[in-house]
Amino acid sequence: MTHSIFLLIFFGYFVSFVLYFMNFESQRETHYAWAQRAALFSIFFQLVFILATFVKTRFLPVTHLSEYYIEIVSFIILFVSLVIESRYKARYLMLFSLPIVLIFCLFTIVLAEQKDASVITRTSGWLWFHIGLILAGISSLIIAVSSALMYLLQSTQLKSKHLGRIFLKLPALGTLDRIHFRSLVWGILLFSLGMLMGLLWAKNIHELKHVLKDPTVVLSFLTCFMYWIILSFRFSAIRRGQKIAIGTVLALTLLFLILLSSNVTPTGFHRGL
Amino acid sequence: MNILVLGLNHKTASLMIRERLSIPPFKAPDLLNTLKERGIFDERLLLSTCNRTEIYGVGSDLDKSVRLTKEFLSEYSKLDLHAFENSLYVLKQPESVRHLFKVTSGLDSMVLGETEIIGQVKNAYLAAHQNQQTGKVLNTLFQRSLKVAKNVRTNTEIGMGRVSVASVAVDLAEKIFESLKNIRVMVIGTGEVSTQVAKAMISRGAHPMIVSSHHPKRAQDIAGALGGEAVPYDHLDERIQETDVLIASTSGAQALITEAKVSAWMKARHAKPFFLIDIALPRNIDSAVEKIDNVYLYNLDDLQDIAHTNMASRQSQLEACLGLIQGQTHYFMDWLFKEFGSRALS
Repeated sequence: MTHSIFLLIFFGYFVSFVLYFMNFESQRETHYAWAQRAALFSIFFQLVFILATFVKTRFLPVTHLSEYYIEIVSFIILFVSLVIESRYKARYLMLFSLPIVLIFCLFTIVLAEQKDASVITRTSGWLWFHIGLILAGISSLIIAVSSALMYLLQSTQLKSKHLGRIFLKLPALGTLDRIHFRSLVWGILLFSLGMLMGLLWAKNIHELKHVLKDPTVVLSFLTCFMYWIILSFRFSAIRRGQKIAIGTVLALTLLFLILLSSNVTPTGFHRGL
Repeated sequence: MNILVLGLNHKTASLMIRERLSIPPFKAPDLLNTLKERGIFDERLLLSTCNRTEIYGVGSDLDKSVRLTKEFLSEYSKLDLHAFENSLYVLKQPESVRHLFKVTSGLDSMVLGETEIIGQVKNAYLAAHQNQQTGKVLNTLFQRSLKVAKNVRTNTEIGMGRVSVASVAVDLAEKIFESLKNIRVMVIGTGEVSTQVAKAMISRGAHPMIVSSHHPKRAQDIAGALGGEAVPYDHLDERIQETDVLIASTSGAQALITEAKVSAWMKARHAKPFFLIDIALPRNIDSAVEKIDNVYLYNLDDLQDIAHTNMASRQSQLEACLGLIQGQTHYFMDWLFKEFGSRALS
């Protein structure tokens, strides 16, 4: 049943993406309006689904099934993207966030393997902070990736001097840089705090050694380290603009690996093994 | 009853004739009253812009109205009718309806797809409406024409991209910096095109700095006129840190701004985006600066190419726009026949 609902939400996002793309390609405002409606409907449906799960089980089973944490990550990414799109008038941020979410969802649907880690979920409040911060951090970093992709496209157009439809439709570099920088800062802070909480919890239950051997944890450290380097370059203004945007996009690969590793690695603390 | 338009525009009349027949907005109410007193049309409206003077009318005795309107225009312009009669066009419905829709949508303008005309048509309509010169037909026609213009702009790409060098430069700057408010524009040289580009940027809120080594007095005059400051050439390196847009237009024979110089500037500017516009011939900026990150260099040819491409893109939309207008003309004519029956056919 949950799988079917998840597929339905996936389908809603897919329809929304197609409509955003059609609006990008043509000038029809109706496509944009319908794309927003489809996205809003799916986001709302997803929220109801998440809340219904919570009411039913009395906890958010984010470590229970990989589907759920993807649910929450997708929900946060798209909800925040919609808000940013209207607040900064950064039209088409959703067009870039949706494919990432769709790929995430697709991987999860294909790879999702039910496992019971509900015992872990109910053990400590530390874990709630850990999961909440990690998911919010990942969502923020994915929004940073969406805006970085848009930045790269727009700056490439400006450099090439062959200004096509993309140039006219995408927001200004200044807007994209602001969204990218803010979501990057928030993403790194939340992700780092989330990791710290996880380590403190592991120490609390005397599982720190076991946790540090988990491939998901190792990859998380690596991702965090990479993003801190990117951010420090941006702060010190040694690198700015295109190179920072490329770094953000490349680091996404590690994010993907983290999410996948919690599903496919044969062993590891996050696998409940 | 018929809807008629009588007028001339930039395609049919010389500038001299257009100037003489131009009607300033403050004169329009009096002239409309004169037309009414002379029994010219049952409903009437004057549309006068720098490129056209047109009188829209609704009436039954069209030959008489046309004759009297021509005499009126001759009287107003103090020109002999023969001097401009050949420049006049007279269109009856449905061509007059289609013509208005084309005019309002900017398809009959000198710059294809421009938007200023929408405001001008709206003002002309409001002026006539407030003076009770319009009735059911012209009210519906002009309100519909404004909707058609919006429809055309929304459903086609006729308004996409700028078509003049100055506006293309402004567009590019806005795509780099988001907004030109508080953006610093430095102009090196005192050429006409560079001043035009600077003016266009100032109109969007940018602050100008004018630099000239050969004509400091002229730089001061231009800076004064533009509301900016004149910067001595010796201070260029110091002030470049706070500059976001650099417009170069000096008459120097060799590149004034080299790759090494821009690299050093970018370090001092903490790699903030830098928009360089080279309007000079021969060029003032070494084209190698393009390779530097966050530096966007455009020369005069680049800007002109974009303007031409945008114009070609607008031209390619013409057919789609005319298709929409044709549909809307049918729609309006259907309404007219339903509303007035056989009177609309007579």
